[in-house]
Amino acid sequence: MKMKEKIRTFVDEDKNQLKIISLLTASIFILKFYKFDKEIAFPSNIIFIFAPIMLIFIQDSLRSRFLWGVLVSSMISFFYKNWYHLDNHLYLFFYWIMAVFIACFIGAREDRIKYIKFNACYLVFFTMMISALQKIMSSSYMNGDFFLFTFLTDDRFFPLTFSLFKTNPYDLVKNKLILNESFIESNAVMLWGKSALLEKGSLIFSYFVVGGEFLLGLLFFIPSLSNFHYHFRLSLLFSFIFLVYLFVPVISFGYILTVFAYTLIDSKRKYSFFWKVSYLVLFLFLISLSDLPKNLYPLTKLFIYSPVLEYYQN
Amino acid sequence: MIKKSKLPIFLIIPFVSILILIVQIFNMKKNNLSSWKGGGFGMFSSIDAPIHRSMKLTVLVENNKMLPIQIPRVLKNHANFILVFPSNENIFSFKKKIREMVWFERDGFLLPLHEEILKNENIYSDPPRPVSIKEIEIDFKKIFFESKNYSVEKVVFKKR
Repeated sequence: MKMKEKIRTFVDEDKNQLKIISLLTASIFILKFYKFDKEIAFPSNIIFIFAPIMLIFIQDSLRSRFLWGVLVSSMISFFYKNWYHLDNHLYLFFYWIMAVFIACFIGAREDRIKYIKFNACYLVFFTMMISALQKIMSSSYMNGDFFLFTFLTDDRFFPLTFSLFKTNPYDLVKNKLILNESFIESNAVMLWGKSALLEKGSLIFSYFVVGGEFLLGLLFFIPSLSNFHYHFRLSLLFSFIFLVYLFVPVISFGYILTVFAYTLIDSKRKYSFFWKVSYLVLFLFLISLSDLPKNLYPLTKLFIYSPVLEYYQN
Repeated sequence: MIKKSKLPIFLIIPFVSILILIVQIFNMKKNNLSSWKGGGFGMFSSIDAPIHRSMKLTVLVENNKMLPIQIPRVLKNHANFILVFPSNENIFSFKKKIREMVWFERDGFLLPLHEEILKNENIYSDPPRPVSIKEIEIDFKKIFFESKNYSVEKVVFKKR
């Protein structure tokens, strides 16, 4: 059998879906903690790397209670010490690891799949709905102030604001300097880059994000009945992950949402192979946006020449 | 459909996530926990991110002198913690740690009297003399953005 055929059979086969979910989840651990962050105390830093590597090589890894148990307990101790400064995607990942661990105790394969799918669906709903509600509750979000301030001061959004609202890069540099330096001395400063277009754009963007999150939350709350609903929510989540994480480098959220989406692909429905490949490619795309290629660059350039890697290096 | 007998196991993750959310919202409203942290999924919802918060420490020492204080490296983590989550209990424990340290005055600032300074005592013309702290005041500030004139202000949101 040719390599292409082999990959196709592996991805397409229903029984391999759990294996790939486990593989992707283990990969997130490695992608997230491979730098041996000093903030993560021993032995958690070792466990977060080596337990997932072992999981990758175990055939029926969604049954390995011991390894998932070790990961869950290490995460609990990690959360106990650091809960106040951890980003929300780590909370989401923690819930997911707990769900995977609990699934190891469910005997029948069908029930395990049902349990994993239920939690993936719930966690997308929960994340999207709560994010939307927090934004609606915030006093500085719905009037566009949050995004206006962010667009004026956060260089991560510059590709977006430059292409849509023609913002000036020098204003951004000046604003960053103002906030970092002048602000230490004085109690009030003025930002550069006043623009009516940017103000309108910030307001539209604020509603666009909240609307998107709310719609996604709603789509994952309703059980998938019709084909239209099923394909629509998978395509919307795909677009959300692709567009949001292309501009905002909070890629870890993207990894986790991709795993959830992959879990929710129904092998019995039409185009399941298409969706599986799309989400796997999306996962690889997110890896290419992360800092992993930058850190691996000296190694990779020994084997390949890639303009993308060179771009990251610069 | 989920069987009734299996319902509790299906509710574990929703229960844990909602519990953490309730705790986060409670602490956000009552104890000024930053909306970006604590598992409440409030990231990108307000300007009040931890990087936009700051605090100013002032102490009242003997002779009723008010002196600004520089946060020593050993207390940096604790300082970051109370910046994100300035609850009364956390502030109390932070102040307690400050009181437990030995301080001395230098150029209008209060500095921690580390062993290194004691070792190098002879380099000072005026050797450091420990001062006793009577009161500690902490001003927690966050930034407020006014979109009408693009002004950014530091506002005190908690004073202890």
